[in-house]
Amino acid sequence: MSSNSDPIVLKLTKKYLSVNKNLEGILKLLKDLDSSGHWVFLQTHGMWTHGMWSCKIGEDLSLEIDSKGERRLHLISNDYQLVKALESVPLFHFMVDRLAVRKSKAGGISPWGIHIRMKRDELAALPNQGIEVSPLTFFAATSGFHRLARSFRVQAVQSALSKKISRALFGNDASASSCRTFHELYGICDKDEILGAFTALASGNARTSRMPLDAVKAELTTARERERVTNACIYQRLLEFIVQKKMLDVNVSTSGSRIQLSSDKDNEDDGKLNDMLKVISQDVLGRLVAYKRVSEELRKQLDGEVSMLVSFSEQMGPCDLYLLASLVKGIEISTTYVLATPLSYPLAALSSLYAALELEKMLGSIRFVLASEDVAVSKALARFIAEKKGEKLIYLASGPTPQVLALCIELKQLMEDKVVLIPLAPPPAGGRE
Amino acid sequence: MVYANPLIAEIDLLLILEGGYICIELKKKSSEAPQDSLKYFVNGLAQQPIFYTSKDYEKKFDGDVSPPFLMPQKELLDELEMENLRSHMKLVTEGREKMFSLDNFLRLLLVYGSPNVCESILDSKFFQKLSDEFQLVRIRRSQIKKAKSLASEDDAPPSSRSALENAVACSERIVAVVGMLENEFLRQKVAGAIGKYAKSSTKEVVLLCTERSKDDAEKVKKRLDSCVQTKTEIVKGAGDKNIETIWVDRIFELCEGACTILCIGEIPKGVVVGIAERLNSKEPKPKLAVVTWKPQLNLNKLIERLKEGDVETEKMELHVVEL
Repeated sequence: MSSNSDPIVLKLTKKYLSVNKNLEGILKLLKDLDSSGHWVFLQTHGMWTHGMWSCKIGEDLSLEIDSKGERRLHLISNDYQLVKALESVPLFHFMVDRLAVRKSKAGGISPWGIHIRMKRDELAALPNQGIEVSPLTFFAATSGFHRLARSFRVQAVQSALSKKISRALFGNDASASSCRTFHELYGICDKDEILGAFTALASGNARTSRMPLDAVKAELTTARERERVTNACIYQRLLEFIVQKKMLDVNVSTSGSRIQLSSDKDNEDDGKLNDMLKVISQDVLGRLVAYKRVSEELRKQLDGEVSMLVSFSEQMGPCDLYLLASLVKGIEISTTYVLATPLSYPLAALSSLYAALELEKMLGSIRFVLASEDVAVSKALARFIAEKKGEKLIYLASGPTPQVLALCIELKQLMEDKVVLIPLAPPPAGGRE
Repeated sequence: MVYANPLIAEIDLLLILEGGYICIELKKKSSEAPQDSLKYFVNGLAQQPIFYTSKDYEKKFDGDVSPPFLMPQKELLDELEMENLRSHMKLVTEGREKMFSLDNFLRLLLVYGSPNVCESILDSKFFQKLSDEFQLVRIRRSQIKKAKSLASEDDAPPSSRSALENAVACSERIVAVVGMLENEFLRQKVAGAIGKYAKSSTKEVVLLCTERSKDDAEKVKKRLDSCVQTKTEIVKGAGDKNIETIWVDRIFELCEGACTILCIGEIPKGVVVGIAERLNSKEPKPKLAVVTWKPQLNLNKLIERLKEGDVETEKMELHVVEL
C-alpha cells in the first residue's frame, strides 16, 4: 500500500520507436507503429540510439520522483550499451540524482562499469507500480536545467493536454478531434499522461532555483530569469500536491486572450490549487493562443490547394501540429514542411513523425526539413521550396529571428503574392506588447 | 549518447592528417567537460564539440561501445602537420563564419551521429542542394561520410556561386528594433556589433523598443554613445491599433535616405512579417540586417598556441549581418 509520501514512479511506455533510421525512412516505418516495438528516445540531438535498434529497453526503465523533486532512475538491464549511453549523456547527470541498476538474474553480475556508481541497497530496490508515460514525457522528466529541457517539459504538458486545448480554442468540431493525440499513439490514457507530464514539469521547474548562476549566464537567453526563479516556489508546491494526491485533474478554458488551467478539485484544497494553476497557465500555455490568430488569418485569404511551411521553434512540439490540424478545416493542404534548426531538431522530428502517422488527412504529406539559423542557409531553403510548384504557400513564422526574417524576405521576393506570411506568435493584447 | 564507435577516434585523427578540421577540444580538466558539453549541445555556442579521448581507445568492448576517453595533448600535437593545414583550415573557418549554426550541427553529426542518421540527413535533397551551393557543407559531408564508413566521395571543386558577403555599411541611419536583452554580456556584445557596423557615414542609431525592452535599450545606448549618436524611442500602443502595426509603421517612418533596419534579439514575429511585407514598397529600399553570433578564430594564433602547448578555443562574437 502506498503512502502519501511515496514518490511518483514514471515508466516509459513499452511501445517505443527508434530514431536511428533515416528521416524519410522513419516516416514509413512509423506506419506500423503499433506493432513495431521500435524506440524513440529523445536526446538533445536525438542520435544516441545507434546500435540499440529494437532493444526492449522501454520495459526496463522507470523514474522515481519524490516530493522534493529528487529523481532516481531504475534500470533493469544487463544491456551494457544502454547503461553506457545513459551515463555518457552529460545532460542526464544534471537531472537524475541517482541511477539504480538491478541485476538481470538473481546472483548475477551487475553490468560492467556501473557498479562504482551503485549503492548495494539500490540493487534490489525497484518500484513495482508506476504510471506509463510517452517517450516525450519520460524524456522531459529526465532532462536538465537548460532552457531546452524547460521547453521539453512545457511541451510534454501541452502534448498531454492537446485535446483539451484544441476544444477550448476551436470547439468540439475541430478537424483533428477524431485524431489520436501524441500519447494516444502509444495507448496511454489522458489521465496518466497528464499526471506524468505535470510531475515532470513541476519537479523540473522547481529545481530551477538550484541552477548555477554561471550556467544561466552562459545560456545567453533573452528570457526573464527572475520569473523562472519566482515561479520555482509555485512549482515546488504543485509537486508536493501531486505527489501527495497521486492525481491531477485539470480543465482547459479560454478567458479573453488567455488559455486558463483550472481544477474542479480545488474546493477540497482551499482554493490553493487553482491559484497555482493560474500562474502556471500563463507559463506553459500562453504561447498557444497564437493559433487563434492563425485560424483567423487563414480564413481571410485562402482557396485552392496550398502548401504550408512551419518554422519549428524550440518551444514547439506535437501539440502544435495537433492544433494546426485542428484549425485547417476547409483548406486543402498538399504538403506541410516542418522546418527545424539544430536546436529544435529532436522535437521537430518527433512531431513530424507523429503528424505523418496521424494528421496527414489535414496537413497533407509531411516533409521534415533540417536547416539552420544562418541567413545564407535560410535563403537557399527559400529557393528550394519556392521552385517546387506553382501553388500557394502559407508560411507560419516562428523561431529564430534571423531565419524568419531571411525566409520572409526571400519567399516574398520569389513567390510574391503566392506566399502568405502569418506570424506564429500570440497577438499583443490590448495595445500592449 | 555518445556515439561510441572506438574507430571514430582513429578516423578523426586521420582526417586531421588529411587536412580535415579539428573537431576536438582538449580539456585541461576533464571534470569540466560536462558543463561545456552542456553549453555546446544546448546553445551551439560553446567552442568545439568535446571529444573524450584516452589511451585506451584501441580497446574494444562488447557491443562496440567504448568509454569516453581523453587524448593527451602532446601526443596529438606530435602527429599534426599544422603548417600544411593552414590553407585548408582558412577555407573551413571562413565558411564557418557564414553558416555557424549549420556547421555546428554538421560537426555534431561528425562526432556523435550514428551512421544511419548521418546518411539520411546528408543524402536528403535539401542537403544535397546545400552542398552544391556551399563548399563548407561539401567538405563536412565528405568528412562525415568517411568517418562513418559511408560511401565516401571526393570534395567537389569550389562552387562558383559565392555565399553571402557582408556588404560595406554606408547607411546614414540605423533603425534598430530591440527585443529584450536581459543579459549584460549580451547587451555589451550587441553594442560592440553595432559599433563595428556603424561607419563614419552613419549619423544616427535609433533604438526602437517597447516599455518592456526600454531598460535594455537604454543600457545598449549608454555603451554606444561614445562611438555614434544614439537615441532610444519607445513604441506605445494607441487605441485599438495593434502595437505590432504601430511598431512597423514607425520603423518605416524613420527610414529616410540610406538606412538599415537592424533586428536585435527575439522580436515579435508580427513585426518581422510586417517588415518583410512592406520592405519592397519603400523607396529607397532600406537595407535589412540581423545580429548573429559568428566564430572568431585566429588561425595563426591557434597554431602558435597549440605548439606552445596551450589550449586555444574558438571565440564567439556578435556581428551585424546584412540580408
